[in-house]
Amino acid sequence: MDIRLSDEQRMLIDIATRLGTDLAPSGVAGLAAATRSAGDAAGWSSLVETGLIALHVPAERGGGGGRTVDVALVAEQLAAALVPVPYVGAAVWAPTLLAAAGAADAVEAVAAGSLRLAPVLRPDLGGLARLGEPGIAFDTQGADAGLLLDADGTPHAIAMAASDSASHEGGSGRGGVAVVSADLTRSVRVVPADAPVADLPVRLGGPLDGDARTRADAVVLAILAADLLGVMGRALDDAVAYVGQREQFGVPVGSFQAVQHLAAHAATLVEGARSSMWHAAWAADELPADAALLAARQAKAFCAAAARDVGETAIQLLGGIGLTWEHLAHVRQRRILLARRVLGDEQAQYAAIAAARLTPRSAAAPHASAAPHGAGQARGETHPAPVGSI
Amino acid sequence: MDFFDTAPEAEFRAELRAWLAAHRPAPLPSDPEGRVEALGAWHRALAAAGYVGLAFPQAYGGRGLPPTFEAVLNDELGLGGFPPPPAIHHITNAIRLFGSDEQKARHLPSMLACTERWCQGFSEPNAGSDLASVRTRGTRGPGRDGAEIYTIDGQKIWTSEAIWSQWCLLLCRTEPDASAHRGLSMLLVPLDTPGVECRPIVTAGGSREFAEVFFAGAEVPAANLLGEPGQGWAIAMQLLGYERGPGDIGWVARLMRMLTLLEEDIRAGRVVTDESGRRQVARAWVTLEALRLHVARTLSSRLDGSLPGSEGSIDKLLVTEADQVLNHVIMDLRGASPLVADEAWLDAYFWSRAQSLFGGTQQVQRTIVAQRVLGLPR
Repeated sequence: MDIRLSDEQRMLIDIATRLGTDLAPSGVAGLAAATRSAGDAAGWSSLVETGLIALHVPAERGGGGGRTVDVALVAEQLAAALVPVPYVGAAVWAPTLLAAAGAADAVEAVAAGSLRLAPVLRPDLGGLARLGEPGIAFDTQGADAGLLLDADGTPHAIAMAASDSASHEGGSGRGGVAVVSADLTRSVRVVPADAPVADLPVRLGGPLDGDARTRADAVVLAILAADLLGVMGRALDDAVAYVGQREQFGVPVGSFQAVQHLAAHAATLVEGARSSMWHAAWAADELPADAALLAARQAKAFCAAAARDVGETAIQLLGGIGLTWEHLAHVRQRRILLARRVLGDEQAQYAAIAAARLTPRSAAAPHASAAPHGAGQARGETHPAPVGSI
Repeated sequence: MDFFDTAPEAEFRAELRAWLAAHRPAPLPSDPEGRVEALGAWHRALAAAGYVGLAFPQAYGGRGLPPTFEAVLNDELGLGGFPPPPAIHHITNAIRLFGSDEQKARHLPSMLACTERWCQGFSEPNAGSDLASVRTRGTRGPGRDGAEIYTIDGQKIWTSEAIWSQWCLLLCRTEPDASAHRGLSMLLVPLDTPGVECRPIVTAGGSREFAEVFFAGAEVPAANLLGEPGQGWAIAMQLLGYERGPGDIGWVARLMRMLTLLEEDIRAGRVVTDESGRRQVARAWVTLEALRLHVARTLSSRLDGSLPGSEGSIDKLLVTEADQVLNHVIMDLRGASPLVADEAWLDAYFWSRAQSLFGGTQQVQRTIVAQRVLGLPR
């Protein structure tokens, strides 16, 4: 094993960090729905030109030929900068489903920036909605249509209104109705059960089998973990910088142990989250689908729990200023609260992990034994079940 | 970034797994003294088979392997439910990094063979978290036969495994005129030296794990100085860097074993729980897995030959969290058993409380992270 960033990965992080700086909102005012929409097209073309859309999809399926780890590192940096573009939904999730469905032309259109699709989730945000069910379209900014699967796992596109800037009182008719999103950096829309199918110039491919859906879930969970990591990491960085210079009692408040220990605990969570996320993103490409999903659930669970804590710690460290509308701290926390819910928060992951790991061996899927790094593939047989006291 | 085994790691893993399958020890006795003895035998068996000191030079009985092999060892022991490896690599590395050729040749082979045990004489009644205020003195001068010696006077406390050890790595004040940190040196002290007395302290879990160690005019040759006079603090800090490494010290294996046994008991119906309990187990796995992956990342960061530094305190904080979360779940799900039948679980629970004390308290670790990793003002 060699769990270090390669030179290429460091370069990619630099590129994504620079893009993030360029595309970051100019404070909370820059996140008003109208302002956001105005800057969106330019932001999206920057991502297209840099080749960051559908980057993880193999070239023969219309993507950029990179790895899920690459996309995760990009998603982390864009989230850290609170860039209000639908990277997770439109640049990762939708092309992941389309690639699995064999729709190379559609992936190519997505990567070229000529097609933007927003995944449609169940109303509880815990998974993709099915065709014919009501849902919430996620990351709808600039979306041409919503994307969901039917009962057979075949992708379908759902018509969307023309613009997200309509806001909650002005949803225009045909498909999704824009609603207020708690997360000021993302747009969402309510999709009625009878939303009409969208007429797209490309076909969206055939049904995804169980394995393909499992792997797609693993990819998206890993990227959501990366998004959470990016937001919490920057939240902590900002709070640490603040307590380092904010003075009370004639000294920086960051010199007090009570303050230092809050920050140190948060830093511990951030690094545990990073190690978990790297593994999940790596596993999404390298391990069998079930093991990849388990790794992704581990990372999502850890990051969902950690991000809320770290975001709250950052607000505590900032004092009252952190709870004002003008400060980005609440924007971060809003993004964390939405991302932790999408595809299930830590409690949902614990339930799924328990089902996978604690089911009696005879009835369990082959992955039921732990899938450690490397060993998941390297080992031909599992250990005999250990019995007894410690 | 590659979590797969390299070819040599895979080969090592397969070889280790085969050896383990053929050498599973009997369940450890639940009485503390019996456990110490059984663990000692297990460690000697591991050592004889070449599984202790993986990253140490072959000349000293190690394998000369990269640090990531320690992660493989922790995985295989922990996932297989085997007892953990010996927690010795804080002391072995101190001697490897700072010892003379003679000291390394004399001590490393027996340490790695687990035939000689060492304890670490750091804390004193008035020098706990404030380690630099150590008062135990080592006074240098000619001995009765004229050879240079150190004469040691003072007292150590919380000295782990002292009563079962033959040697003590002793932090003491040898340069009384130097400032607090610069006045310290490290001595290698045989515990059978006249003037050394160990009195066990029974832990909350019932084990004689700790001891007070008294020094009254104990004499050791000046050749037993590790490193240079006044280098004691630097050696202690490097040693603590390894002691805080949950992969170096075997804690990952220890915790994975406890979780593996709990999960197996649930799958087999020997421990019955509801959905809330199952989620708690999953949470413990998530926490422990984050630790395991983080430790693998830390060991990888040392593939370039670098040594553990301040960021190792993050690893220590993660292992503390994992240990304490896990032992809560174990106590909750195993019901009355730890309270009325199997005292080993209760001992493990109290150990998890010690995890936030030894090697520097959780609070000391947080201060290190805040000041040396995050750069907050002192």
